[in-house]
Amino acid sequence: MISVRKGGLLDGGYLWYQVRRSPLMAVGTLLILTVLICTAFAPWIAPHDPNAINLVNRLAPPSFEHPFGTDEVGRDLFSRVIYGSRASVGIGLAIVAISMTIGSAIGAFSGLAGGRTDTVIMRVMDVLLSFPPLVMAMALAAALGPSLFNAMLAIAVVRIPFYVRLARGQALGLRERPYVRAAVTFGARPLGIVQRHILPNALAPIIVQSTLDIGLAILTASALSFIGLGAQQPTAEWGAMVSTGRQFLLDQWWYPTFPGLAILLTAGGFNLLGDGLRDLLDPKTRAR
Amino acid sequence: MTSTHTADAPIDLRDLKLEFPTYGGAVRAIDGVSITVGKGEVVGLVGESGSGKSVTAMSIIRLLPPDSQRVVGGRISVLGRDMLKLSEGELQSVRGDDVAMVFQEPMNALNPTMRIGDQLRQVIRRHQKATEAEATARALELLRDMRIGDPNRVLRNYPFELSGGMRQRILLAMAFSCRPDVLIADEPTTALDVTIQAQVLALMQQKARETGSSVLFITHDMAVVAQLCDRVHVMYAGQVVEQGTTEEVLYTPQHPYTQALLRSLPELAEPQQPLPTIQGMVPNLIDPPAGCRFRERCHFSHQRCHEMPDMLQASGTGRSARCWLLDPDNPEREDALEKGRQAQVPAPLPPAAAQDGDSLLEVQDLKVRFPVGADWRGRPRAFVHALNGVDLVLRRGETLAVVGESGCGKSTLGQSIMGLLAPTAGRVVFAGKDLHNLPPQQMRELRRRFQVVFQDPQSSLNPRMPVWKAITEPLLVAEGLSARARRDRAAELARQVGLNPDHLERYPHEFSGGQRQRIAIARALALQPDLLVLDEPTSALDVSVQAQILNLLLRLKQEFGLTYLFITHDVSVVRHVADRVAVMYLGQVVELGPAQKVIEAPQHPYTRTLLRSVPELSRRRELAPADLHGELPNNTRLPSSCFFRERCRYAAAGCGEPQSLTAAPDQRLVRCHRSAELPPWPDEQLGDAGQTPEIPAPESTASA
Repeated sequence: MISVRKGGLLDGGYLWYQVRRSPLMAVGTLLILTVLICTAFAPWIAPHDPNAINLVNRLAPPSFEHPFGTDEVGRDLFSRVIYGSRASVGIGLAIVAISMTIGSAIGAFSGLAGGRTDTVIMRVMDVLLSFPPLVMAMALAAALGPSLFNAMLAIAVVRIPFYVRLARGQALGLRERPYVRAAVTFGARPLGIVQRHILPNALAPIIVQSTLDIGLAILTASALSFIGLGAQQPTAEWGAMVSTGRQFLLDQWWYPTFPGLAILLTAGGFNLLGDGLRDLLDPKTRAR
Repeated sequence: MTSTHTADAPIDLRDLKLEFPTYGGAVRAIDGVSITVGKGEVVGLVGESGSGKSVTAMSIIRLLPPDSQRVVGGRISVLGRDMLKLSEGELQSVRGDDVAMVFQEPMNALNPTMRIGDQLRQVIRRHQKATEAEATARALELLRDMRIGDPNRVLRNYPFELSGGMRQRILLAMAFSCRPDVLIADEPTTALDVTIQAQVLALMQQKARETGSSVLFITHDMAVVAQLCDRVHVMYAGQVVEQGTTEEVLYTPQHPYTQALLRSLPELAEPQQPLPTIQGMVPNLIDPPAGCRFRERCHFSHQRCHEMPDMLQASGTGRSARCWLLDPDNPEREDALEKGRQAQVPAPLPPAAAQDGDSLLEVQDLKVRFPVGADWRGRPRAFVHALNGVDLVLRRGETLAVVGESGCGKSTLGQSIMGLLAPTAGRVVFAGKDLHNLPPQQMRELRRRFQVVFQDPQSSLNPRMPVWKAITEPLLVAEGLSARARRDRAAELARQVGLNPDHLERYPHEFSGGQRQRIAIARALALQPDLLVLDEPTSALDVSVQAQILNLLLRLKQEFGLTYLFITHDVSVVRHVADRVAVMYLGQVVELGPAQKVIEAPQHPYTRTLLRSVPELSRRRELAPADLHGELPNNTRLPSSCFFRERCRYAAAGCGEPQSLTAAPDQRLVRCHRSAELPPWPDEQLGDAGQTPEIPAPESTASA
């Protein structure tokens, strides 16, 4: 699907040409690479055990030993922020993976089927969309019981309608394409058409949407953790850290600030990447 | 009117060079183009897509976005002003005031959210001192000039409420509102039907004469040039390769490209025989080969062609061409001419096997209507009547062309026959089975026997599927063949349609339009069908590519004994490929019969109107505004009379009744009760047939 030839996505010279055209995308990519490296190599990067309590050294300011300081039970905040990337980024990716897969499958099917099926599916999605996403996620998470896994499920459900609408819109346009009609004339079944023609061609905008969504998902997960519906102690999670650190903001500013910054940079990084991908995947801009 | 290279010509381009910077390097879209348009002259600029003709037109009034291109050489002078030195503000006053432009797509050129009247008034008041009332009066006058009936109503309309022809006339009215000295028209009639095109061209010519405007007319259609232009420039790969008066260039072309282009028109060829084509492809303009740009495709190419020729004057005339053959001192000239003379003319096809006459497909009283809108109960507010009782029989082995203008229902007919659209009434019977009343499994089985090729080769292929997969998708779906078996079959199919089997791993965007159409044809052939429905298969292609595809279709038909249903709006293509033709009007067949007979002696008044509107190379005649006969009636409310009555010049008593298809001489069916009484054809307007073009076979260049 991705061509390595000249002018293709993986042509090194072409990538460099794109980077020069949109340096912000490069910044986003670098941010995300950093975060992903932290996620993968946390045990080697983190100088301390994130859960090692040291009550003697509680709420210590940033120092050479503890670059981000320590929290109220003396855990190293730098290590906790690095380990926290596992929970936060992991949950973000998982949420998007779930909602994107389910949402685009439903949407593509709905758009291709049309008629009553389409109407019923879309009205159900409208109902889901009519609640404010955060409130809805809170309600679901509360009903399922407070845990990181349940928070993830709740947010994924809330995000599904966005993908359904996106994929359906794509499918509506694509099903009128002559190549889809030609497939009908040689007897292709709907499932085959969705798989071979609709999804591959609808994917570009969905991928863009998903990268933009990862940031949002991390923020929402952090928000749920912040109000106690997500990650539970002692799991290192950025939202939960900001939540507990909030009461120390005035005297020990470093406690909530560094996890907060981590959320900001990660979400921002994914957004920049998404914006850049939108341009990169659009064949009209690629032709230039 | 020969070229007048005077400094005071309204448009004077000298050696213009223009580039588009891209990732792969700078594309030299215009490379040394010189064009002059004298006062009151109509000059044509013809070329195939990518030749740079539109870019040339846009660059004259500096309409191209400044950061996407740069002028690297030459001079643009319009009405004595150096357009390259004017500021943006000065340019704006030149555009509209002195120079007007008309574009191809009339919908995009009008603001969809503003009433026509407001848009016209705005243009008038921007360039002239006028009160609102004066502007309205002037707008009404302009619309009346453009022969728009009921101009008061049109002023209140929004663009979407008007037809394409009407919108294009409004744009012309706008263009002429400030009595421009120069009009630049970029394919203004390409999106219109031929009958509407004839109206618009006639109006444009008349208006230009009245106001004394100079017109630069960009088109790909040689026949339109023949009707409209005084002089013509032919462009190829960013250069003008030949220029001269219309008669000179069209009837005795000097440049091998012009000759080849004209020879590839189906209009001038023997029906059902291969057309001469141009080998190879247009060179890449990022790094064009040194020397003549046409060298690699030219039958006359010789050593000297490795050097870029200038525009060389032909002896004794004002015409010139960018070809070394025009240099009488060229020592290689005789050899090159000899070489070109021996270049192969395509071998004629053996006579077609007799059509055995049993029917493959029958369409019986087919009716299709589409609901429009919905009232509060969810019931449709109105119906569009797309097909109103079509009867056809398609015999095995024949090519039946369905011809008509947009909205006549020809594509709807194609889709119903393909089983893509359920009819409201009537039947489509394929090989004895009623297509729309079959259980799904049998339908799938039957579908293998008829396949379709669509108009736009770009969108008929999935951009994310390598070509071998696209070609053999039918085999996967219908026969569940393994990938290995499909690959082998793909190579075989590719060879049959003239594609290189080594290129099958590539994706559609790496192929040209003509090659993509070959891929689509290969896909349609994969299941070895009996019937191919060809829905305007060459309409999106350049003429030289069209010739290749038509040749391919003719060959495949003989090779595999195929039956074609050929849907098209192009009468010259019908003449070339069809055994029989069905002329459609407002969802009905109005005339059906042997193609040659119908085209040479049409018996239905609509067929006559259609044929009269078709521009022909051989016929340089006055465009008569008397030909204006209104537009296609609204097909939400069908007339109770003969459908063509309102536009018919032969309408008389008895035309108030609906007409039926009745037998006429020459195995024809005609839907007109007066068909036997009509005056003989060709009628009064065609009597003055002008010059007949003699596109020289390669050898006749020698006499120049």
